[in-house]
Amino acid sequence: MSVEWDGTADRRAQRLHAYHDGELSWLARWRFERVLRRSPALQRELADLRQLGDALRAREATRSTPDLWDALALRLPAEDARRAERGAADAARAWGVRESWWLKPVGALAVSVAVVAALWLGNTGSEPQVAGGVVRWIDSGSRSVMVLDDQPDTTIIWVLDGASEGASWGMRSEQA
Amino acid sequence: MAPVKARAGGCAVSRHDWSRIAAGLVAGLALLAGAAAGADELRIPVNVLVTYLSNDGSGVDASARRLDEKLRGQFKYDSLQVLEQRRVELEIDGVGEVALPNGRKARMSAISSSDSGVLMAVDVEGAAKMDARVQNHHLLVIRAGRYKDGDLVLSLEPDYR
Repeated sequence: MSVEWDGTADRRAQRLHAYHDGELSWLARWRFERVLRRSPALQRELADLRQLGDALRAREATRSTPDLWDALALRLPAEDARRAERGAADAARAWGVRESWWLKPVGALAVSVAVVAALWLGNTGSEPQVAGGVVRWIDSGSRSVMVLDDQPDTTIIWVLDGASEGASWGMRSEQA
Repeated sequence: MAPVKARAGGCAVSRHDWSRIAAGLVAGLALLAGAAAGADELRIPVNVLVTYLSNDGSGVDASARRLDEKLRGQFKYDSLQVLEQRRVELEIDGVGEVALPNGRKARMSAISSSDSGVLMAVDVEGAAKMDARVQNHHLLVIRAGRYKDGDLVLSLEPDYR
């Protein structure tokens, strides 16, 4: 199935959501309200959005545990990564070390080798892995994972459901 | 020449005062416009592509050609279909969410942005959570689990220039 992308409709939907969420600047809000006053369709969409928001808030109110932790937990490892990056940068500055161009491919190769080796050695990935290169940290739970970053503008993170799944897909990196 | 006086709400306002008020208004508007532009800069546009990778013989969608070039050398398949294509404007520290057709969710957050790229936290439900420093137009491709007879593949590409 292919979904066509209508850029105009997408932008209008983004504006509508931003207006609904109170995220527009005063000027953008004023301009949007001018359009809104003239568009019954947009008014209906906004009413639907408000109705949906009310329903979601009512649902959230009945939940025993608020969902705030999810959003927070999503950010915690990244905050650690950011701190680690800052620490590394500070340390490099302190030692007068400049980033070397040759370290990048070496780092990328090291990550790929480490992850593939972990897979081959039967590491189930139960512990979160810390990596360099593009992927700084990854936690795939009990699933095995391959990080393929041998292409300069692409990083592929292939999370396997089972140990034999890679073979069923005929992964070329394993065949080599 | 003596300043021309005008009456406004009982206060005498000179032509000189009016020009100062006008200048203040212009400066205020410029500040507001600058603030609005600054707010825009804090948003990181990310192109999100949700695709279905399979061997069902349906071919490769035109809008998935770049992804196909990247996957072709790594995996054996004959079909790559685009299920959803979106552009998500991620605010720094905000969380964007994409509902996947297998009923799972993918969430992403931009933590910081620098010359070395955008530090993103990505959580693909039932697959993996990760932090990645992604440069502009770098493709971050994540297998998001089984779907029908194939796999869901999520591709994220910061596109902020």
